[in-house]
Amino acid sequence: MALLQVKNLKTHFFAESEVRKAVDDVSFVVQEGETFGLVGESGSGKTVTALSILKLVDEPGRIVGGDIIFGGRSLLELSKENMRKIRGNDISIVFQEPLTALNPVLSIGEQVTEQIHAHRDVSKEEAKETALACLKEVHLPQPERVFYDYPHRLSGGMRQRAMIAMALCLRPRLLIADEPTTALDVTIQAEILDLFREIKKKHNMSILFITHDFGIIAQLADRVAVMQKGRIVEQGGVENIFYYPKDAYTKELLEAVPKIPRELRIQNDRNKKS
Amino acid sequence: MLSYIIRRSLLIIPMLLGISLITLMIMHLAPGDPASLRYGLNPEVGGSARTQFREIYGLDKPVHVQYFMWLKRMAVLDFGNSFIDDRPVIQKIGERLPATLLLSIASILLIYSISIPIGISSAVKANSPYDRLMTIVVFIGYATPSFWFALILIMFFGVRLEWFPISGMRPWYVDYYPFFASLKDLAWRMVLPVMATSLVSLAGISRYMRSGMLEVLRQDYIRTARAKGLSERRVIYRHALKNALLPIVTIASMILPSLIGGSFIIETIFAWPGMGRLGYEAIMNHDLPTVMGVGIISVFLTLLGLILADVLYAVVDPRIRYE
Amino acid sequence: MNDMFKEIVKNKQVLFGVVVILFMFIVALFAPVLATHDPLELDLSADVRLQPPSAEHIFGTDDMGRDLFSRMVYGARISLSVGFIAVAIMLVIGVTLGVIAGYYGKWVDTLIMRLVEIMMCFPRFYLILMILAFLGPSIIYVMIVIGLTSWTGLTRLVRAEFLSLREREYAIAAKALGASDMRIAFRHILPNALAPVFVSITLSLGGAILLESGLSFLGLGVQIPTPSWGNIISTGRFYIDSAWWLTVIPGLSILLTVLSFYLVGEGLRVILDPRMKR
Repeated sequence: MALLQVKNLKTHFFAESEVRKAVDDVSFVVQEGETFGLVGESGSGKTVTALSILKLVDEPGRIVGGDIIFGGRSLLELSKENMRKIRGNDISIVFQEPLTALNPVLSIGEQVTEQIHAHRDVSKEEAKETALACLKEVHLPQPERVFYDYPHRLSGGMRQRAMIAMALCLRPRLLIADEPTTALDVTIQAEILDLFREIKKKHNMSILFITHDFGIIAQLADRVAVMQKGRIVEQGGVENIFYYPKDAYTKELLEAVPKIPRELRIQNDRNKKS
Repeated sequence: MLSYIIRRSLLIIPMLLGISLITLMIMHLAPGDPASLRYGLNPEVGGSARTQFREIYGLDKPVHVQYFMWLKRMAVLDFGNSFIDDRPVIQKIGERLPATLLLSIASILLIYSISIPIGISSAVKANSPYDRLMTIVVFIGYATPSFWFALILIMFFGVRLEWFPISGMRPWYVDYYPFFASLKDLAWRMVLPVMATSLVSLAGISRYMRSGMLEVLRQDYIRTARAKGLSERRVIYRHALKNALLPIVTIASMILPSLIGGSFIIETIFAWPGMGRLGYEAIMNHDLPTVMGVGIISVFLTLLGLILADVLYAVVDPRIRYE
Repeated sequence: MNDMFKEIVKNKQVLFGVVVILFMFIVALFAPVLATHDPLELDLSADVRLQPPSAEHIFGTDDMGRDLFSRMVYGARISLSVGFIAVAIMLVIGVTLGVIAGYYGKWVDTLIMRLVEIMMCFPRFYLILMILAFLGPSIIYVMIVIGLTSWTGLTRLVRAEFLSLREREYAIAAKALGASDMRIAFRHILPNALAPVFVSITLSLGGAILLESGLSFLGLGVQIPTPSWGNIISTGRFYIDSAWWLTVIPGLSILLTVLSFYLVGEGLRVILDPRMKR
């Protein structure tokens, strides 16, 4: 069953005299329970695609064509209020840089609970209860302490875990992860990827995983689409693309992935560090 | 946090030394030569006052001696006695200061309660007709001479409409009023001076608030807040506002000098018995010790505002609070 | 340059400001031609003193029976010349200190920046009052003192521009070619910092005119009978309930002139700053 259908999506940015076609006629489907990878270099339009799904593209960008169907409903036709109800509740997102993505002057606890309050009619205590459970679920040590702490007091990895906790808290049907490991140290990257693998297994939720790293996609995704300059150049099953790439650009991206299996690489990095 | 505040406060010391040097230089501008009399505003007082001033402050002694004498005077706030009534300058200032502080604090409250909403709404509706209108309004406020605005207020609300009293702070008959009635009388008398004092800073603060808010609205965490499905109200008033208000706190210290500067004119126009009017009268009467005293106290107040702003900043920003 | 001209014409606020400023300039320049009466001529007869605007005296007359229109026209000279001379002084001090601080860095920079911070602690208006109190009121002193106390913002700005420009290629290239420090600073780096300096000049002109009017109002600037907008208002103050024109007309002139400088400054900031473009 298709959970999300992106059909001929066009998101353009209108600068002074020119139009930059950040997303230009992109179509793909994310099935119920599957992890769909979106791969491409920075500037290929992956993030804009993700933001388009949430209808969070900032001026001067605008969705100018196509449709986004989620759970049978067109998101583009929804009112602002109905779209708000979907964000963070049915579809949530984890951004690349947790330091800037978290509000520096609000405690982690407030940032988690406010999301619960925005979508559920619960008491303060219940919200706190749920929030603590979420922080625990992403393996944050001492969740009670983290709850009252501010983002700058946490390490990069802990911050990203807090972000993921927020995204998971209301059990969304679709989780969008936009380069969630790129800003982190290599060892932390591996831990966060483990977390995603665990989430996938435990909740059977659909994940749209965006990255420039084919290595990550190979481990995590079921199917994959390759993006270049706002268009999808190739899509299909991960193994198919991995072993039999047709497009020249896909081949180039694959060249960039070291031939050593990923686990070994991580092992190496760990050894180097210690 | 305590170490942060102490560190910031220590920075004041070199500033104090610099301030003492500059003020000493200013004092040397007072010519001892009786020929300069003709420049005086009040020739009868001018000549003798100046020589007396040079004696009191030891301006004929070697420079380093003068400097230490001056530092000592600054440290104990001893500026000598007024030329007019021979009372200690610091005592005269002490009597006048509360009136000035009352006016300044009321003005800061008015400035903040008007300019913050203007700044926020302009930023949220950036480049809309409303924003453009506010920009023009704010610039007009900024370009208006405050003394003229005060006169226009008097002309309109005082003389024509007779809504508000136009001069004085506490007439003698208030002593016979019950407490709340005298308080009401005071509030009534403050309306026009506070309006006149606030106008200039109103413009600056609302512009500052607007650009700060615009900057914050571009941040990643605002996008996160929206992505979490929070209402637009919460995104703006909780997430954006709390960040945008931080620098505004420090700005309070920057409007303090301009408020004190403005008080010299506004207090004179409204016959408000504050430090500003004392300073103006001292200048007009060539009461040099009082002139110096008011100047130094103004600078001290500004520095105090700076430290206060730092403390406040540390309290509201968790990034510093937990340092 | 051509593009900039087009942008100025397109931007209504800037256009308005430029037109008003040009108008004031022409008025100041041709004051003797435009004035309908001698601005200093007294006439204390009751039917001439404090007359409201009429065909004979289009802005009315003051308490000494002088023609307000003629006094306003000559007052424009004072306001504009105080503005320009004070800003010229500010420019020399501000740019020089900013260049030195930004170019040499290290302790020179620290020293100059400390000085800036100290200057910023003084309530500027009272500092000026104090100095004028010691020196005595005079229009020349007003110009000098305004210039001497208003350079801090400009110094900060030039320094900041220098810090960011110093590392760029043309400065490094010039240094490699053996150009002297001062030559690099003034010939190669300064021209690139001109845009923000220009904006600051425009804004300061407005500020200086505003300050002068305040000082003249308090009797510490231009001395009566020489007309200036500020001292006309200080006369008008005593006739606030009977002769509104003595207060309203000069006040509006100050407001309009200062507003024009601010609008031009703000407009130029938007035009010259590529980051501000939408």
